[in-house]
Amino acid sequence: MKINLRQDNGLTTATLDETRLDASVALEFKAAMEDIISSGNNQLILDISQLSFMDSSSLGAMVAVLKQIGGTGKMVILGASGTVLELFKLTRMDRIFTLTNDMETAKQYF
Amino acid sequence: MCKININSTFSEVRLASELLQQFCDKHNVAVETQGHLELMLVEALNNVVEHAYQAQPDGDILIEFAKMDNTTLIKITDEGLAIPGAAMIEGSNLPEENTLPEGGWGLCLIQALADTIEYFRYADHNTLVLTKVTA
Repeated sequence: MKINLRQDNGLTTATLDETRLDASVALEFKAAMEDIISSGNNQLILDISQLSFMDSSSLGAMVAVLKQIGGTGKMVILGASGTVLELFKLTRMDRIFTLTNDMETAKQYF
Repeated sequence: MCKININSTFSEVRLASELLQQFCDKHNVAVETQGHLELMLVEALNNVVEHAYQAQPDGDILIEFAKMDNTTLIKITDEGLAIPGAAMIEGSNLPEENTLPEGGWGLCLIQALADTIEYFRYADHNTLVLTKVTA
């Protein structure tokens, strides 16, 4: 699981360097993100723009990550498109996650 | 017709996805529709791995793809436990998003994306047939 981190003025951008997120790697993704958050990165932009496919088990892992961030932190999802974006909408989880396609807009949520 | 046998593991589900992509490319299925077919397939196979075979890795799953006129068919056969009741056909309610669910969307996604769903329970196997207009 490749996740590249960039920190800028207390804001962390975690770029998922994968094209596919599915049940075979969902737990690995969740564990990696939990490590990132527990290291103090709780103001987080998660860039998933490279993903071309994601299943509902991975969406569940993202919900678990969102719960871990909790009330004091914030996570914005950047770059969901195509079937990945449809997954958020079909499950109505687009109402729970903050989604945007633009980095500048993402930064304005913090 | 195009088919593959996989073991009941999530990593082998990827093999079925790869074959579906090849099948769709061969039949010029639009990228957007290809994404829908892949999500239907993966959610159905995840259910087989997780529920029919209870995450035991040595179960057999046969996956077949076919194109008939303007429709793509996905047929999944397994020898695991049956789906309870008529859940696959009748569906289940989408989990309430405000409860921050971490699962329970699989059947709902299949029902939202497939045009037809047929589920057959035989003496020793289950067969799920999903179709979608892809022309």
